[in-house]
Amino acid sequence: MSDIPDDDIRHLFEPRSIAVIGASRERGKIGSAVLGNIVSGGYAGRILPVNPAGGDIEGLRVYPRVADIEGEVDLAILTIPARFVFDAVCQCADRGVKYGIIITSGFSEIGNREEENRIIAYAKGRGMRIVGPNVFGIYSSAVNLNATFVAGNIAPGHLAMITQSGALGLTMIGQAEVENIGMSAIVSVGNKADIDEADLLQYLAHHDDTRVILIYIEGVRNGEKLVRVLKQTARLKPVVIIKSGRSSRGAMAAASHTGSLAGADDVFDAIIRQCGALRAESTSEAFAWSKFLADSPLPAGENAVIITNGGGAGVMATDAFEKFGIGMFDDVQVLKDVFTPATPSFGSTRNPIDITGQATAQDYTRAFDAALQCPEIHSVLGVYCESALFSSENLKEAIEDNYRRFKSAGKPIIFSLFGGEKTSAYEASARRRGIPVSDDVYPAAASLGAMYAYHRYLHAPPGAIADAAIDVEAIERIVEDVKREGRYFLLSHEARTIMTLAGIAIPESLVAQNLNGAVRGAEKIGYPVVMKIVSRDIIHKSDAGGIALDLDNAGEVMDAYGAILRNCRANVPQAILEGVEISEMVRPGTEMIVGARIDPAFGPILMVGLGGIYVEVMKDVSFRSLPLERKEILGMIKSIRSYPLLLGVRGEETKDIDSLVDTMIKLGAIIRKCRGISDIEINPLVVYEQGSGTRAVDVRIILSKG
Amino acid sequence: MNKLVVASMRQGAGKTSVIIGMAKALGKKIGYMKPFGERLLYRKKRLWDYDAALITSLFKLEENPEDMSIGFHHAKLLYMLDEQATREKLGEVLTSIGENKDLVFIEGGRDLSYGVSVHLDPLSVAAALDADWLVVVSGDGDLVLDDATFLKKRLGLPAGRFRGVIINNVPNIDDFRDTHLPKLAQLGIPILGVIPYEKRLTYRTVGYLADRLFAKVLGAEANLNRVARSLFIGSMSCDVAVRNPLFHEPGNLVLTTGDRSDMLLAALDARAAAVLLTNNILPAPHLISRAEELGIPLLLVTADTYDVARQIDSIETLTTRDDAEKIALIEAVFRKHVDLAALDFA
Repeated sequence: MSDIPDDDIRHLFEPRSIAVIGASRERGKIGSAVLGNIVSGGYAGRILPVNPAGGDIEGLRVYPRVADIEGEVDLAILTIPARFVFDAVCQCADRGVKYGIIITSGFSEIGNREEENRIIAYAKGRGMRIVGPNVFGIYSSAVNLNATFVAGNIAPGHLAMITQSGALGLTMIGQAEVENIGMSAIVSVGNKADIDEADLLQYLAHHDDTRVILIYIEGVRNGEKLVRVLKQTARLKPVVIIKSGRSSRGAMAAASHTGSLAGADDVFDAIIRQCGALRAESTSEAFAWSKFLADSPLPAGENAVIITNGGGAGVMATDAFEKFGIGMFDDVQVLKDVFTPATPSFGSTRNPIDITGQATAQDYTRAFDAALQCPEIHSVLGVYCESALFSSENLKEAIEDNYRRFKSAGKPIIFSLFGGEKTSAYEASARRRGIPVSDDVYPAAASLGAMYAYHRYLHAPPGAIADAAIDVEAIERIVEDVKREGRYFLLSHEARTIMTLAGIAIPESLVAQNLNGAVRGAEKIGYPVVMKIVSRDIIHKSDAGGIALDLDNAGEVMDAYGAILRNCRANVPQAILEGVEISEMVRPGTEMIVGARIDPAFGPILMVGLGGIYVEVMKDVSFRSLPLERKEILGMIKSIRSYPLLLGVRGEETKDIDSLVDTMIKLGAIIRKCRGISDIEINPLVVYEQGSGTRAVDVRIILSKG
Repeated sequence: MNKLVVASMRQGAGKTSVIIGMAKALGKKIGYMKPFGERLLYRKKRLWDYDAALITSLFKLEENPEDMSIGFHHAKLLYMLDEQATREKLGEVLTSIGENKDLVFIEGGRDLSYGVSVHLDPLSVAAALDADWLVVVSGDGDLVLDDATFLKKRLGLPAGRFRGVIINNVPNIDDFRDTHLPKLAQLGIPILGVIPYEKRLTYRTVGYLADRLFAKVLGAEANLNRVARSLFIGSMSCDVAVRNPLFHEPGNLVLTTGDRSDMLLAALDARAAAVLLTNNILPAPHLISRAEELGIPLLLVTADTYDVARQIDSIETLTTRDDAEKIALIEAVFRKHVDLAALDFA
């Protein structure tokens, strides 16, 4: 799937001519619905119905074949049965049609991948690109094009939607209508046999009428491309993503911890956030965020305040702020100066600002005004609890006027309204009029939290990609040698050589083939030493009894040598034992795990987490897609729960986080640049005090089988 | 001080059981050494023989098990000791072990030839220490007959201080007595006893298996001393498993992969002795809690189900020091089937 030039993808969204293949005058047929929507939607370009029967439909001339159409055709919509699709696509491609949307289903989604591949291969071979199959069409407000079989009109607006699920997409269009959300574009991508979300984003990112992009996604086919395009798009406008399949695929029996920890959804979640996209849990949340982001200004800073007439609701809102990572403004003096004039003496000027149950609409306005005028306050959540002193009939004054003033002043405000029937009715009607209101503090805080997440992404300008100079050729030579032997796991000494070539510090070590060599090696390295079995057939050395630690003298080395060989022969009888590795016994430090792998969907990814033997139990890890900036790698490290261990706890010194970052950069460079490696993992990577570096104690490298 | 080398023709013949049974039955003050350590235990940089540790514990010996063996692997012995030094070392160990003892058992290596290149095969040891010796043979009648004939014809027994053979683990003792014993008698080898096969002696504790498999214990660690009488491989569907009567037999060790929550739950419901999960897949926390509640040990290993089953099959059954029932059984069997008077260690 190659990228589509920006000026070319425009022909999909803004075609000058459209052929509807399978156009029908028979009501109830998709060909009829699509053609009807194109005509009734006000599309001003050439509409070219195609049907072997000929004649005319809705006053338009019907062409028996695509070949009969004169002039250029930008877009063909195919609504014919699956068995006719290949021939129709061939005719379109031969005729020079630029884009085809195959609405027809019955391809890879039911196992008919071969036919789908045949269609795509033919089309792409002649420069025609395909959306679908198995889609509901396209809507594009730029040219008033509604080439879908959605019932009813779609209101134009500023939200673009890309959906992989046709049925859910149609439902979301209905929900958008209920919420009075106008759309700038809707595309369903279905089987994504050719064009995917990333291709469509290239147009939508630069489409002026599109303020927010909402994507429903089920699976990623080319994650690297999606990551690249998402990063670019999110710099220009917010992208909200709903992805189904959050459940973990479980700890699979993988050869590396990185592999088994990289549950598909965990990686997706981490990478989507890395790209600046916002992941919503549900369609209603996604619409709420999208509306808020489309219609409200972004905050100028992190300081948010809650203004409420109910203490309990204020506390709940505070909890919600914490959950969604919103910074509560806590400069007590500033808050007192700003809100004292707007707060009764028995209220509170500490955030949350409690203007008490006696507050009227005017009191709210006074408090909101105070927040609006204060440059140190950057956003506001207004919380209303219905009371006898402030009837819900006065909500319009307190909510809508203030919302407009905030919006025109460039400061975001959002409201939560608690109350009875009248309050609920007002809340529903206000929401339909585009006012950011909700019936609880959590949805409001979630929307504001999403806005802040986006704000932070925009205020972290992209920097230079972190890279490291490594000897790629030498590493690839090792990989090739191993592959020639028919192996996919590197032996310890091979992995260690790669670490040395990448400049990653490892304990001094050597391989001994016999007892004499082991004793001599231990004396050369200096006691204490570690001994490990070397065998291509033993991956989990400790499970085979193949490791002995802290050997202090020749006698202990001799005993350990015998014990390791005996254990391994007993536990893995078929294993060929190639010797033992004698290594320097590293002194204790903070044990981390760092890994890099080629993810099947996202390509090269990097992992960091708390290392040691309980890594899969603790699962305290963080993933990102490569390449990364140095500050992003630091962000990964900071995001794990164990980060305080690196800062030093219980009087320990701060650890060498810079060296940890350097090691991760080098690991990333290996996985990105050296062909043939699918997984690299260091566990543990011992991190010492600041300035003392790291040591890669155990390194596992797995090669790809492709 | 009497000295008796207990050798065997083949590995796993039951030398240690014979020593335990004999020592218990004789009621003497005994000593023990195993010059060429075989079943090594390596913990915290210390190396000792499993059998030495077991005998030390069972008979409350004061000596350290580490001092009961001279070496454990050929490489180190070849590196450290020549024949003369080995003989001297054997003498030193015997002197130290045998002080104030009525009888010292000297257990041989896995078979008669094992250790000959480092001068620690049973016959070299018997010669070096001027000790009596006997041979344990085991298995079906034909094998026993072959071994005994080999001893007689190829080694030219009786010779030196050979005391006779003990025939162990005989599957069908009546058939053996009728068919093979007369032929053995014709050979002229002293038969000290014929011990029948006893299934209960083949049971292993869950803790022993966990130790040998390097398994992580996820729950009910306090019950690792449970006895695993049989292995049930839960690779079929759960419906099929629960319909199988063997699934409900007491003392089952159920083997299944960690993502088979259904099989794990069924095994817990069937009150298995323990469940061994493979492929390093952790089950859901509530299942671990359930196992803990029921006191059913839950073990986790990295290897797949097939490899683990093979591994378990190849793990030899060893007596453990806290297995009082099994030790009492060994003593009873020994008293019943072995001619103690013929040993003449009174």
